[in-house]
Amino acid sequence: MIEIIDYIKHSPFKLYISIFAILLAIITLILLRKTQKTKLRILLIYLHISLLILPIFMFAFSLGCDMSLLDGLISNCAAKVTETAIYIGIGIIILTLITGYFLMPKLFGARKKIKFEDKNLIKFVEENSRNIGIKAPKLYLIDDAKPDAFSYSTLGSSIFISVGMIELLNRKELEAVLLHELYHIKNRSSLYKFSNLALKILSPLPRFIRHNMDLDKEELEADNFAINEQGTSRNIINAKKKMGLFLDMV
Amino acid sequence: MKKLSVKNFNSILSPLEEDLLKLLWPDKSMKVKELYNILRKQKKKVALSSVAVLLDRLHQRNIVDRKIETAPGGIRYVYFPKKNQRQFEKSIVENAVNTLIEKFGPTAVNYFNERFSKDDKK
Repeated sequence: MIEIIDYIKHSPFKLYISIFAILLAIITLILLRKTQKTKLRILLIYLHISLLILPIFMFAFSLGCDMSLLDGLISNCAAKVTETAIYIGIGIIILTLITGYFLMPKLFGARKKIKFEDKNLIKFVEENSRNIGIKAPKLYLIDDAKPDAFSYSTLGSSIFISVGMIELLNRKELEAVLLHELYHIKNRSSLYKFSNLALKILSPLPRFIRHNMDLDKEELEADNFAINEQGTSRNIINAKKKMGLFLDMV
Repeated sequence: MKKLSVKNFNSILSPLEEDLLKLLWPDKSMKVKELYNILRKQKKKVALSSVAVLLDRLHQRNIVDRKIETAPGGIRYVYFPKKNQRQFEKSIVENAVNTLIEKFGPTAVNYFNERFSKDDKK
């Protein structure tokens, strides 16, 4: 506490910057509430987190190496602790990306890239990816009778689809589901969900300010994309109905 | 396989599960849609998702097995029975008898002895 009072007394400029950063962080949260675009939301989330962390870093670095931040626990200076924390953070991000790219398919028990004899579905995904300006995602098959499909993107993007889903839906319904997932990839929904979680963990402010981050809305937009592309809502509705019927019985 | 207890003796298989097994028992490998079509022809009111759920349930209970088949029409599960009808019934009886002996011990054993000696006399 004494260190914080000293810090305020001796560095009023840093204090002003800290207050300004916190105010900006609140503004980013207000903007987050009003923004509709997912990519901009992700950007605002990380800007908000950075602005909140900035005063802490400034304080830690201002302590210098002549005192210990964690007296008795780590015999190191505050700046060193902060530096280590930054390296750990970067390490976690790299590890998450590598794990996501190489291990995700294995974690979900995905067997292999889907190989349809007619290759129509792969072609469908490739064509539609091109149309919306994204790199075609890899298609993975999950050995599960439960109808399920999801996507994620880290270094590359993938769509996972269960055998149960392929079995229950007809071709048009399956295409509607794939369009829904392509929208998620285009919008980087998996990154958005991850960022949302990071925001909840790292920032106390979203608890006090209501922000429009309803993930259901994202699902609705993905459905609307499939409806617009196919020119009918019948396929996506039928697909959901069939999935619902299965899940109700389980 | 789900362990049989006296309590659930009458609910080993639901009527529809029994129908599906009867179709699979003559050593057949069938797809969900094939089984569904046969049931529909037999005038049974059932949805494709229900057939898929029941087969998945039978698979989880280790009564049927399945493999993924890639065909020109797409990817499908092919289900086949793990045991024939006789082996399946035998395993049910075995489980039931074991459960009774576990639960009632000597009383159950004495009862079986009495019962079998009566049958022998007949």
